[in-house]
Amino acid sequence: MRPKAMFRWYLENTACTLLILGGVMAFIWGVRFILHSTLGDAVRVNGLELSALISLFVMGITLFSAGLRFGLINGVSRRTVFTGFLLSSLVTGGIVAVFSTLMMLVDTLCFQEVAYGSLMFGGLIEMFGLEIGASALLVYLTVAFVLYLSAMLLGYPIAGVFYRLGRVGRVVWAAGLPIGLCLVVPAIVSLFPAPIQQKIGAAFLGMLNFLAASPLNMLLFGLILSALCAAASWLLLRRAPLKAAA
Amino acid sequence: MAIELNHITKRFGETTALEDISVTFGENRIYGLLGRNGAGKTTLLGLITNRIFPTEGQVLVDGEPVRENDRALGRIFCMSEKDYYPDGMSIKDLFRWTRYFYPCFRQERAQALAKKFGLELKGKYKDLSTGYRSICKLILAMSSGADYLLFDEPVLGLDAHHRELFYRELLADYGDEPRTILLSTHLIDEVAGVVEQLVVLKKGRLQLDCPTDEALRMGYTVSGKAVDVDRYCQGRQVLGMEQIGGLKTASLYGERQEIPPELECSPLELQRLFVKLTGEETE
Repeated sequence: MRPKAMFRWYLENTACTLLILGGVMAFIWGVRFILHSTLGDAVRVNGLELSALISLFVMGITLFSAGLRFGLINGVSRRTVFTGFLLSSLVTGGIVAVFSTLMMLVDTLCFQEVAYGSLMFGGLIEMFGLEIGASALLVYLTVAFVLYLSAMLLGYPIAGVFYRLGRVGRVVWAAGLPIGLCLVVPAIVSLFPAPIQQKIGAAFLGMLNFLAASPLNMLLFGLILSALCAAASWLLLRRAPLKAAA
Repeated sequence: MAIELNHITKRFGETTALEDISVTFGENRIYGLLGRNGAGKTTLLGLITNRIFPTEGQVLVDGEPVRENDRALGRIFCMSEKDYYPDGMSIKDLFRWTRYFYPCFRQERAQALAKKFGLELKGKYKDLSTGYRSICKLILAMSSGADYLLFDEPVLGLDAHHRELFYRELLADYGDEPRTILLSTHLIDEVAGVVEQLVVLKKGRLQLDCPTDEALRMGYTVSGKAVDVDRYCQGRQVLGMEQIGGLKTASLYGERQEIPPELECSPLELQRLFVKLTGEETE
């Protein structure tokens, strides 16, 4: 009963956001569909998948402290809190992936060139040499699911670190993470001798080539990322004390 | 059936909040958990409910470790002094979610209590006053159906009428369905007639663990000439002394034995006993 209650709590707390996200995506897609039907191929819309990724990432961030707090005050163990979040992430990622795929399906049936014009869908077709059809949609569905799941699972431990830190640590983490990734790391890399920079670049390109070689590679990458984020989330959650909302 | 704390120590960095506490909260009894501000009462409740972890020692509920144990935790409902409920949640949803997490939650009882306390179920938790937030939490606790009810400052912000109503409803419920209740409060005289066992903390250590009537029997004052009082107090546990001129009053804890006729003896009220027990050491 209690794991089920926790799982239900997570789902209910994402439902409203999912409805708004789905509504906006459907609205924009619908407007584009109507405009393309009347104006021809002048209309392109991209970024729906990216919007979904960002929304799920933010959901992951907000659910860490809210879920932990509500679970602990209702006599639930941290293990159950974590299990509830994992299961709800699977369901949420699946729902958004299915929704995205349905939009692509309609595009594929009605306007193949529009489906091809979608950044993610068209990108997958080009990358893996797929033909627009059922197989492409299946690849799109699985890749989208894994990416959406990863996004949600990535947000959770980022919020977890924030939750566990004190006031000074939070400022350092909140400012340090983006500054570190966007400024410090590139600056450090630029200080390395040219041969080393080339090796780093080659390694990065090698990883991209690996991902582009096969849909399975991309899925594997997404699953590994999800597993690492899930492991980090558990490590942060298992000893997290109960704190009141700031 | 009991909650057992075995050699519990809790440190927060350099600060020791609780030190080597061993106490048992047995079946079907009302306990008063008393102590000054910072004595460790809330920390103790947090350790029992797995909200924080002990530095040393173990907490058992019905023989099972409480740590990360849904079965053991499901038997406990803790009403916290702090606000942990989501602000944006409606009262109705709070009742609904408590019912999901505590399958024995008594919806009719909760609604009846809400009516008695005048709590509107339609509003949001964030719109409640301090007193009504406490009332909402009290109702959830008393209707939860859990075997162990822990209350941390249950009457915070409540007016006299609501405080009396709370104690009345608590005792009525306890009479119908006995369970283990732990009241952590600063309003000692109010709970004196409610609690059956006292557990007193002082600076993180266990100061007293005994039945309430025994504590009331053992605490007394003797008054008279200073020299007579001093003679009587030798070899006895003296909690405090006050002197005005040649007259002295001593508060003692222990069996009353052979009180000389020149001394006047009177019982020590629970609040004064608590103040004496938990005050700074007297010279």
